[in-house]
Amino acid sequence: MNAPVKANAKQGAVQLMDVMISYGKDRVVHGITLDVRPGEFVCLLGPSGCGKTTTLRAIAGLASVESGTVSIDGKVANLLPAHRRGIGMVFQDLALFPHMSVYQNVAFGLALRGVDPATTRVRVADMLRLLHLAGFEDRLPRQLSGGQQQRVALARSLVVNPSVLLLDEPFAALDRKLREDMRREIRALQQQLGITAIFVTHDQEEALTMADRVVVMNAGVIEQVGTPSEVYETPVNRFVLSFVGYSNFLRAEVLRNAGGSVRCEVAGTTCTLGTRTIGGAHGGTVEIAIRPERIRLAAGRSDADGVNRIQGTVRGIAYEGAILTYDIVLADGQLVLAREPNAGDAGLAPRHVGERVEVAWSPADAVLIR
Amino acid sequence: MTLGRLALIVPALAILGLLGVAVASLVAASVSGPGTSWYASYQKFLGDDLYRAYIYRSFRVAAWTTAFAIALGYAIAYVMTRASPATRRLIVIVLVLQFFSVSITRIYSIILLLGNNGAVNRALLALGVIDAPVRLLYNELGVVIGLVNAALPFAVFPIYSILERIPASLREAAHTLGAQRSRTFWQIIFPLSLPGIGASVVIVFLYSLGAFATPLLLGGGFVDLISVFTYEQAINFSNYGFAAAGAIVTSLLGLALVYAFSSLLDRKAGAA
Repeated sequence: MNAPVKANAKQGAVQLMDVMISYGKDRVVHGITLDVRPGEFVCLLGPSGCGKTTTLRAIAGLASVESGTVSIDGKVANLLPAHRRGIGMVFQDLALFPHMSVYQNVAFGLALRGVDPATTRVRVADMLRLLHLAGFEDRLPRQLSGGQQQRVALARSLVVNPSVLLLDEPFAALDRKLREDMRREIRALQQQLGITAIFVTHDQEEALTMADRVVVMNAGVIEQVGTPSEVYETPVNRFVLSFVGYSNFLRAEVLRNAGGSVRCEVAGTTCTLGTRTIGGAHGGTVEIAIRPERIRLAAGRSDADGVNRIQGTVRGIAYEGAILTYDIVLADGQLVLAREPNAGDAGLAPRHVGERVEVAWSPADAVLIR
Repeated sequence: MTLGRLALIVPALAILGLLGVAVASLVAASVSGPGTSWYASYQKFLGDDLYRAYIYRSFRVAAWTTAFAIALGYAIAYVMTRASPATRRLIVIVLVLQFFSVSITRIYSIILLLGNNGAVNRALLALGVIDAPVRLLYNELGVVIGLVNAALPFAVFPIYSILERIPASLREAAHTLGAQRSRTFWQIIFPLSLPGIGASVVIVFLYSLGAFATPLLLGGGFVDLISVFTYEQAINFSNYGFAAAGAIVTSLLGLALVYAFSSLLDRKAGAA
């Protein structure tokens, strides 16, 4: 299988400029601007109803844009019908043609492009081999497993050498193990073919593991665009902080705000915070956010200086195999979630419900929110 | 099975039993008519061009009715799947209303429309399409128009229920793969709607084969279909055996045709 020949440097580029989309009277996308580079894997991540699927459909030509421009391969595509955009799309329900065999499904787009039968046979066979579907040519979609159907949908959209591959939550129907395999496989395939991919998902783990860049969306706008580690480590607002990964949000009183550090009181204990803030907080009552995996349960252990410690009681333990999640209640009733690896003998003795512990975290790991 | 559950199937058994008795007495009448042998009625019916013509005519009218009703019904069903909910509701109301309207009223309104002095002829004359009124009534055309009108709901609803279940994503997938509307329709939507067409064809065909009031009134005595023949033989001439033989021959032919058609459709669906 040859990688598609790049006709120009812009092949595979997708640009959205101030795109607004409405369904009837409801505006669902409120002015989105996004620049997807050729060969990039971008995930649109957000809760359901945030406009991510609508945005994808606008790129595909299946939803019409109210204002703004959609450009594909450097050319404005607003008025191009879906069948002339040169995109491949994998649908949430896969949309395999139930009355056609695997071969017919994959060859469908080639026949429409006037590819001669001999070349069609070669290209379909190449694509089926690439997706480990050789030997399944004559099966009907309903005679395949979920993972195989997934591959047929991919093969069908890739065989026509689209400049952009659009994927709308294609793993929704797969079980967890298969979903993880497919993530790796699609990512590898995308890199091998050098194709641009835009992937819609509400699953933050999926977005973080697959994407070059993650576009976090909410209520029809983009909240943040960044690499997976950027959106996870340095979220620009409370929404991104809470949607991408889990965070503890604790109520705190600012005691002193000077220079490089902030002193505040959390559940009766004085703590030091670093410089990470969202929304320019200065004084009074604030929130501080800490990821559960950045909290250590210190139980009388002496850690390095500068680590904050708050007394708490273990209220519940969720055993997840590799990871243990502790539900801890602080002196003033606030709840904290802490996650620790299940270290076995190398770790500390297992904790039990009712045990008094110290919730410890480093100042650099807390974010101060207005 | 409990006694209570057993009681629930009693009505169904009663209806089936009644139907069985009716068919049995029809068969009994057909083989016990006047004549030398048990098959005398059949011999008389099948041996005469005049009587066989009733069957040809009935099947021809039923075939035309089916073709027109399916074509029109498919178009209506397709429009329904693409229309707004309000338009869809309006179409359903019109179809259901005409389905439940008294058949005599419906037939007379068709006579008013299609007569030499009716709205259709006057409109065609006014538009200059024709110079003299066209005969739309009291011939096979009139009967077919009336039957298409009566059978339309039977054609629309089975097709609609299938079309409605075809996910929109299939059409969208075809578009993104490069297919335009007509290609998408003929390669995706139409093949997937074949089971609905099959159901509609069977229902409309058998309905038009057995229709009585519409051919009687719109045919005006000039279009002799098997149902009219059966009625005349049984009621006017008390030839119950002869009427029964004609009815049974028609039913068997109709069933054979429907069976052949549906096995053809099954094979096509199985091969696809």
